[in-house]
Amino acid sequence: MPGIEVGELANMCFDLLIMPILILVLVRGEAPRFAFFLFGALCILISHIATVVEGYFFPEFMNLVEHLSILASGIFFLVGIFRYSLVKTGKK
Amino acid sequence: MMPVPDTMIALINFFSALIFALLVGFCITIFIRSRKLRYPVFFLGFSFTLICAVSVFNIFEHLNIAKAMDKYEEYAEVLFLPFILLFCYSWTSSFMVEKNRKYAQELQHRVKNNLQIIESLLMVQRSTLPEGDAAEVIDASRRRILSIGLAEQFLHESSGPLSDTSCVDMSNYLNALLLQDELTFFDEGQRPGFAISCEKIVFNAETAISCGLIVNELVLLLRSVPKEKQELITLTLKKTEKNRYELSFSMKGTLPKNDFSGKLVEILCAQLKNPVHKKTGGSFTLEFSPERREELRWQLRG
Repeated sequence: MPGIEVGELANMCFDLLIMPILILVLVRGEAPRFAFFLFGALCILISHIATVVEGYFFPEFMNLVEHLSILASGIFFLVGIFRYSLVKTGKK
Repeated sequence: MMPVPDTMIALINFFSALIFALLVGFCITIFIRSRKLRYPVFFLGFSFTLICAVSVFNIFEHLNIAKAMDKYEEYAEVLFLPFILLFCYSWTSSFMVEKNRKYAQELQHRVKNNLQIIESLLMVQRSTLPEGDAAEVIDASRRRILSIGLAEQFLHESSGPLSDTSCVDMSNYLNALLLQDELTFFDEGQRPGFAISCEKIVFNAETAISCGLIVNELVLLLRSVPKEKQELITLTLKKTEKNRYELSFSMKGTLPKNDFSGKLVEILCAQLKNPVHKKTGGSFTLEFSPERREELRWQLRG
C-alpha cells in the first residue's frame, strides 16, 4: 500500500480503542474541569488519523494538520492546567 | 495545495515542544509541592514528556538534522493516550476519595452535634434533681456521652488522606478527655491531678472510643475517693510489642469498686482485639491489639 506504515495504523487503532475508555472514565468519575484535557487528547487522536490519511490524500495538508493538531493539543492542555490551578487556588 | 516548507513544520513543532516542556515543568512543580496528587501528576507529566520528545524528534526530522529518532517517535506517541487515561483514572479516584472524606467528616460533625444535644438535655434534667443516685447516674451518662463526642470531634478535625479521617491521635484525645472530665465533673478544690504518659499513637474510631470510655469509668471511680487520697494518678498508653498496646491507670491506694463500672469495663475490654486486663490494688492494666487501619480503609471505600 502506498505511503502507509503499519506502526502508524496500529497507533491510530490503539488510540481509537483508548478514547472511548477515556471518555467513560471522565463521565463516570464525576470529576469536573476535564473538558480541555479531553479536547487535547482528541487533538492527538486527530494528529494520528492525519498521519495515516496523509499516505492517501492531500499529503501536504494532512502533514500540516498532523503537526498543528499536536500544537493545538498542547494549547488545550496548557489552558486546562492553568484554568484548573487558578480555580483551585481561588484566583478566578 | 502549495507545498508546506519544512522550516514551517519545524517551527510549529518548536512551539509544541515549548508548550509541552512548560507543561512538564508545571507538573514537576505540582509533583514536588502536592503530596496528594503525586500519582495523577506523575502520569500527566510523563505523557507530556512523551509528546515533547515527539515534537523535538519532528524538529530534527524536518530540519534534516537526524532521522534516526523517527522510529522512537511512534513508541512515544502510542504511549501518550494510555498515560492520559491513567492520569484521568487516578485523578478521578483521588477526587472520589476526597469527596468521601468530606462526607465522613460531615457525618462525624453531625454525630458530635447530636451527642452534645443529648448531653445538654441530660444536663437540664440533672439540674432539676436533688443530689442522690439518680443525679449520679445522669452525671455518669453525661460523662460517657461527652467522651464519645470528644472522639467524634477529633475524628472531624483530623485532616489528611482518607485513612486519617477514621483515626484519632490518642495523646491529644486522652489529654482532652481528662481535662474535660476534670473541668466538668469535679469541683474546683476537688480536681485530681493526672500525669499522662502517652506515646504518639493513632487508633481507629472504635478502639479510641473504647479506650476513652474505659478511662472514663476509671476516672468516675475517683469521685468516691477523698481528695487527699487522689495522689499520683497516672495514665499510660504505650506500645509494648508489634501491634500490641498497653493502657494502664494507677493511683496510690486502692481503686474503689463499682459493680456497674466494673461490668462496663469488662464489656468495653471485650470489644477490643485480644484483650488481657487485670486490676490489682490501685492499678488497672489492659493489653490489647487495635484493628488494622487497612481494614477500615476498605470499609470506608466500600
